[in-house]
Amino acid sequence: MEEFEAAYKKHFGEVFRYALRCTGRREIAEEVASEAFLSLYRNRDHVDFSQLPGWLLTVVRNRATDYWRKHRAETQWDEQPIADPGAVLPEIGKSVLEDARLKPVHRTCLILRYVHEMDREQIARRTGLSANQVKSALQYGLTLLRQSLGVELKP
Amino acid sequence: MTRCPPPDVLMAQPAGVLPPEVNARVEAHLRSCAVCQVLLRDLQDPGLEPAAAESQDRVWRRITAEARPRCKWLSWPVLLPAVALAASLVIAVAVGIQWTAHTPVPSPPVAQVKPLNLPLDRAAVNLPLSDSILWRDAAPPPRSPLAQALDPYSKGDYQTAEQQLARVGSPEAGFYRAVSLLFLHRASEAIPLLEGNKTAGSDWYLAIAYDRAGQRDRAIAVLKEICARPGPHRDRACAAL
Repeated sequence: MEEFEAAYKKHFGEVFRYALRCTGRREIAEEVASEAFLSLYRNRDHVDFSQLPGWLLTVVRNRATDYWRKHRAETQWDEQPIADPGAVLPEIGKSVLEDARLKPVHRTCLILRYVHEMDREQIARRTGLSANQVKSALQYGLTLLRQSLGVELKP
Repeated sequence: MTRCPPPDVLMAQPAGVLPPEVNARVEAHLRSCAVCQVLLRDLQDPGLEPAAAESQDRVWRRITAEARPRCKWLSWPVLLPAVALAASLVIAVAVGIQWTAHTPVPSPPVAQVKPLNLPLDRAAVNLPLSDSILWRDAAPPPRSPLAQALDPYSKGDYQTAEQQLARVGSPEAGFYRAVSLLFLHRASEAIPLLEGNKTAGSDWYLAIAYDRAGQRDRAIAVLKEICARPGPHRDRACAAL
């Protein structure tokens, strides 16, 4: 158990980040990471701990593949080729993608809000930001757009 | 529904875990959609990555809650049939080896030195338990490179086995590679792999390799050592002397 706990502390960060990249959602990543470590715990007598985290990452990958196979419905979207981002973001246009003053967090909140039509709470859940962080990121982004483009968006 | 793939699907695309047809559609979409390209890049930004610490505690609580009751099934009453099956397979393979052991394998003619004609049989595969156990859990752990390289070996495809085992490089892999080389009539290449190899049975195969490479004196010296100690090849070594 001590060896397992030490391995958990040592490898959780990497395993979790990989799970996140495979599932795109914090709660699913946590589920997948916990399954990987539980699998390690159950097989701890047969697993060469010097092979970690490779063993864990393989389990994560397999579980993530299973997850997407089972949740195929969530991978659907209305497929229309988008040649011009201006068509998606009529008011914002390309500037939102190119303005150097916008950091990833601002752009992400803007895109999730105005392309994916999420509300603040959904954005917070999706990004792991707090509701206040989402609010201020959107405010900053919108102020910037108003100043540079003169566009007014519904917050 | 929007006209772009959901953000989590987008994010999972580079990991290669999406069902193939979904993956192809997302890839095609990404090529033509500047918004999604930017969103994907931003979502991967370390600044937007949720801190792992909070998740670490939460997941640990979940593991400790689940680990105790659910690991009960991995107990001997459950494992026993699996182990018994594995054991009977090992016996079946061993019997098969004995059966084929008497098939004469032509040894290369060596001038002036009369070979001992030591019988060559396939050394039984002896892998760590993690590679031979039957996993009840849905996710089998990755098999070791050695276990994978030994698949062609067990099927008698020594050409493929020799090439794959050469890439593994451990002493154990060297041993099985040497046995494969003996079956391929490349005894002189097997010698350096077996000299000093601590894998059980390697001395017997070293004697065969020396014998087939025309180094009869060395073969006899090794056979004498085998004959002097208890071991699986003792009787055969003594008989050959």
